[in-house]
Amino acid sequence: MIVKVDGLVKRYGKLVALDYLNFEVEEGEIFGLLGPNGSGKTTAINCILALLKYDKGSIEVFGKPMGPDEFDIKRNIGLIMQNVAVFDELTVYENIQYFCSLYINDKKKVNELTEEAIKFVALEDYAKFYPKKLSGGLLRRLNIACGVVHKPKLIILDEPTVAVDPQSRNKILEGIKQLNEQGATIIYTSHYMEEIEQICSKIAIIDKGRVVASGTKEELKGMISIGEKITIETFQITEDQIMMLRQMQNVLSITYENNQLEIKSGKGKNNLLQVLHYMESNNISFGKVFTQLPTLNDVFLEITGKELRD
Amino acid sequence: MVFQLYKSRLKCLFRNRVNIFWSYAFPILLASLFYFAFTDMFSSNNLETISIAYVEDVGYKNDMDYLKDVLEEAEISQGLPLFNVRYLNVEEASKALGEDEITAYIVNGEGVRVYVKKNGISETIVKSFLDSYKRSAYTIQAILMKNPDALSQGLLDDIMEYKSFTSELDKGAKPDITLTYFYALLAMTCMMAVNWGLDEVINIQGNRSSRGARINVSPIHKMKLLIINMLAAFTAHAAGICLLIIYMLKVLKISFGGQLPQMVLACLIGEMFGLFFGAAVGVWVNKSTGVQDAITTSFTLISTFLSGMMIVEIKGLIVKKVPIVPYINPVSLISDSFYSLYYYDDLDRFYVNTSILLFMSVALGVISYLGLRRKTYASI
Repeated sequence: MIVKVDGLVKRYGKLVALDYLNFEVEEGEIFGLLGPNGSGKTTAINCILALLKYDKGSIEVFGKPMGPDEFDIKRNIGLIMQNVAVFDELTVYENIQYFCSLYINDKKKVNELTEEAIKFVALEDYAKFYPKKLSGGLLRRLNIACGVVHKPKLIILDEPTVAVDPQSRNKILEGIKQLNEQGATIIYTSHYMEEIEQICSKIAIIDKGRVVASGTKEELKGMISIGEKITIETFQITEDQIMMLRQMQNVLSITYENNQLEIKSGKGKNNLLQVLHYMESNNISFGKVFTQLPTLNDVFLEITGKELRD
Repeated sequence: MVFQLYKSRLKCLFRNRVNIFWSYAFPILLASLFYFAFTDMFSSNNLETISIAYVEDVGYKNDMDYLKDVLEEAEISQGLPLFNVRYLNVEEASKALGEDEITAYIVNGEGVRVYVKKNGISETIVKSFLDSYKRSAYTIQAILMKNPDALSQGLLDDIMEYKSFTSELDKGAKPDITLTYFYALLAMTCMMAVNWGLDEVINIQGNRSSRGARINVSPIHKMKLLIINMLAAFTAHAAGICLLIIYMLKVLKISFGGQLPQMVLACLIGEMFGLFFGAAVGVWVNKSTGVQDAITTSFTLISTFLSGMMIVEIKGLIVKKVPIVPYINPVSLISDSFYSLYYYDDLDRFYVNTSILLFMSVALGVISYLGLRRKTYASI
């Protein structure tokens, strides 16, 4: 077990930020903490890192209780936060070197690791640049390099892709997968479900400071009743016909807006076929048709009754 | 690792243009400003001979009147007369004044009156000179009425002789009021280290910045890092102070009366106080960085004001009215250390001042340490 959070409670006055939060992170996982803004993801991370006091519960990292002076534990943790945490007065190379020096004593080793980190985030051409001269995407890459330069066993990324362009975001996600392949365990927090789905091997969905569901993405999707979402473009469907569709076997709900008929079906085979058959036999003309498996947003919606982006 | 961190921190400090301006360039600019202002104010070289007219009017009594002689003999410096006296009648004098040929004309009749066209330094000098003459003349007359033989007993020599009732110590230092400003400026520069101390603490606090959070997650002991960073700040700021001292000594040619090592020592202790004061504010004042900055800046400015840099008389007033303040005001302690080095033979007063400052610095260092150790935060 790399991280074990047990019954964690954190209050800010009357506001309960973490409400008996529990989760475990196994070695080699990319563990995603998914939840809307204000759900308690960053608070949980800050508690794990012993940056924040908490009211109840316990946190173990690498099998030992975590605390501000647990330097042996800290030595194996890398942190990448939402805000870029570098020195404006130091160049790209000097910044990475500085943060590496906080972990490693040997100067030669520090320089080696610095070079490696620069290569890893592909900033070789910018090594002598000051952070202010870098674009947002490059700055994020520098931020990542500073967090992973010492080759930590556990890397915590707290919403690292907020306000990042799609190209840089993909590079960051690829980099995280690469770090994981090299042996690092990753904790990744985000409110972007697509990112979590893309890279995480295990996911905990948080709402109001509690884990409302956890497991692999398949396990999570298996927890809800929706099996498939069918979207059909049609211009001439009547209320009665929608009512008929609604009464079909396995159909859970139907909405019709802006000429888009959206049907949510339960798990089962031939959902699409029976819908198309009905439309054809009733002479309902239709255009584009596509189907979609349920997303983590559907999971969140079904469990909490609200959208992830709410 | 330690040296690498120290070196990196030094680079950060030397590349921070704002800090460098306020701690390096600003004191040098201010010193230059003081220098030019005071050179102008106290230099007698820029005084020039003043053209005046002397008019003997109706009612003039030659008896016991030496004004004409005094005007002729008055000098700015050896061989350079204070007045260029023309002897005219009232109409001619008035016309000369109107045409700016003379600065003033003096009419000596039933009394002595001075006529000027405008207000100015030369006009003020003429008036002050005449006031002084009148007072002396009145005194002489009063003495002679009581003792008519006084004149033969050397009254005039006595009255014209300038006597000082204070004696100079043997340090060879001439009392120089402008030095107070330069001392206070040096002390203020030392105190500017408060902002550096504050920055160092903010930088390593996890609840102040993402950078602080990242540093707190690292395995380095926070106190160790703070000491490294404070040493770097001390080095960088001390370099600024040394530069200022060198600039004052070599470029502005200000004489601090020797004892340079002690002077630098006082500066370094003062700087240490500044750093620890800033650190203590950073640790113990749980307010925004803006509020903390306001506290440190106000502290520096108020301390400097009370030490007399802005109004030199304030220093004396504080000593008279609230004598405890100079003993707890770091700027006063630093500037008074310089003052005692300049004016006194023994170093007792210097050691008292620097010891108090050192004690307060150590106390602030301990207070900062107690606040920082094992710190986790209630909120980030």
